[in-house]
Amino acid sequence: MFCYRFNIIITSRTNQIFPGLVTILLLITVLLCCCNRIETESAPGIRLVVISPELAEIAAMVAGVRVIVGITRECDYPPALSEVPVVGTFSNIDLEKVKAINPTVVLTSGLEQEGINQELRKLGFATVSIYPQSIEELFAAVLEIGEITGCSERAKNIADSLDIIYEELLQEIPRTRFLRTYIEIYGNPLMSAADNSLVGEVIALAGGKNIFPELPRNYSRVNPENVIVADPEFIVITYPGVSKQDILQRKGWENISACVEGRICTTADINPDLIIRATPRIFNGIRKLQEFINEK
Amino acid sequence: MKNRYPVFILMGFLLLATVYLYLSFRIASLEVMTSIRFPRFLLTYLTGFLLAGVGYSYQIMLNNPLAEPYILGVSSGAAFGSILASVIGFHLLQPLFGFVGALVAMIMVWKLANLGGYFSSTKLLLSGIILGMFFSALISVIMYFHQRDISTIVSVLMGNLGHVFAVKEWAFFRGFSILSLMLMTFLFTLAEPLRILTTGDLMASSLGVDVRKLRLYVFLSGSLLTGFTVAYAGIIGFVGLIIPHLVRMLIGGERRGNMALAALLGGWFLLICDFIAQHIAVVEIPVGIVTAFIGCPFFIYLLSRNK
Repeated sequence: MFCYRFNIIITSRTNQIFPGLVTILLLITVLLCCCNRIETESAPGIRLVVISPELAEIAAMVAGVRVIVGITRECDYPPALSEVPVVGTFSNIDLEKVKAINPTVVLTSGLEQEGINQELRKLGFATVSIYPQSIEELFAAVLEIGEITGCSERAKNIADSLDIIYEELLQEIPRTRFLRTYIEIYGNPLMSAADNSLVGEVIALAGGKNIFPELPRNYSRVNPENVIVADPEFIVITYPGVSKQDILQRKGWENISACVEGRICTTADINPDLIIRATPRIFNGIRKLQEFINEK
Repeated sequence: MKNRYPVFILMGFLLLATVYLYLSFRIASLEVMTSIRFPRFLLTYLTGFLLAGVGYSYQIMLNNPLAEPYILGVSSGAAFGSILASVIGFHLLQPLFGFVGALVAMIMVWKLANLGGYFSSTKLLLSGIILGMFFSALISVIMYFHQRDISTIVSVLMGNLGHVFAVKEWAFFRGFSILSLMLMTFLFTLAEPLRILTTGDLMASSLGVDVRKLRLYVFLSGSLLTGFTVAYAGIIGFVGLIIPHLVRMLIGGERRGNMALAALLGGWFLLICDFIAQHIAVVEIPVGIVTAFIGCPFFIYLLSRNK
């Protein structure tokens, strides 16, 4: 609670001196929690199996790594999770391992995990499905996991701290220079993200104007011709294996403004987990994207 | 034959109209045309051209009306190579991996077909089918463990003509296209001995055709061409199966020039299918779905007409 009030005071006094300072301090606080350096007190007897990386990250921050007794291979943050037993992968878990661990609750996400959730229910496990697809839903996820783990007050503090950063970002939007932005979430075939998606929201908060604001689905296939016609000033690549040079060498892309000015952000520049995962670290990703836009 | 000329002239005009529509429909600028639309056109037409030509030659070579370019397992090898490149992070090397996969599969099929010291077209067909199933199983393993790469896997297995070329890759592709056209021309030169082969191995041998060598040439060139198409465009069904039969139904029997006509029609058919795939829905659908939707009813119609 003290930490929360302290941050509020800092917010009011330093807002005019250095707008990013508050965000940085808040992020440090949140990330310290995430790294499990701050001891937490969860409800006794809580044993979580978490099979989604973003939920594992939120659960570790809200209730500490000690309550997590099983994860999937993709759950790689915070680093302390590496000592937790692995029960499978994002889309395929070993039900026998889960049974052996005997968790009190299994946290699952959306997409293919909806089917896993049904299977776990059939076996009598208590499951909770949380699939945050926007920043507002991220706050709700923090609070819900707080309730599940008996750390409601701590979850509320974290959610409030994150909300301050969010509000600050929203206030900065009118002063932001918007760049026409192309988000590439997959290269073969070319796929992008709409404004309704989490990645689209992140880009908007960072100062990007999505060239594909509306798509048939939140993440959908796009025509490379339309990318050239839209002439993006900023390109964000969210999947590994593609370098800036690879984008510059694409036929017909050499005259796109982003390629001419070299304003291309790949996974070598920003860890994609900071952009595509709905976790508190997403604000870190937004700030990094802002820095990238303003530096160039 | 004279009364067929107006039909060929009409088909020529329709082909030109299709090419014009394909290249100019909702085109934004000349730059888009040269850098995106034209490479796609070339890839699409060439893929259809090669698949139909290879399909025609395979059907005669294997003496099997159900034969198609993908039946001898080479396509599965190419698809496996292409998908493997994607899941291990070598996105830009997908065509290269695909082609290497096709080569490996081709060599394995040929070795299997020659096991026991003798060769037969039945052994070749069985070897191809078995190896194709083996590579399909490997693809299934990748699909199972890399479900996040499902977009790439689907685009390879259902066909994707929207390949984005790098500048250097485009130069490479043009060179490769010329090579494949030369190889296809070589296959066209085998049309006459293949026509003789339809009378049976014994009769063809007595007429001076080296049947084993002919099959080897058709298999090798057909496999290389199939590997090339799968490496860039993925697996696009029906073109190599339906178009050869369509030509036989239109012209009647095995005639001189049928293989070349099948290839020309194959390119045309795939252009139409790709155009529909791009524009029928708000988002582009895999072209393999369109070829099946158009190809099946059309084929049934032709079958019912040619009782």
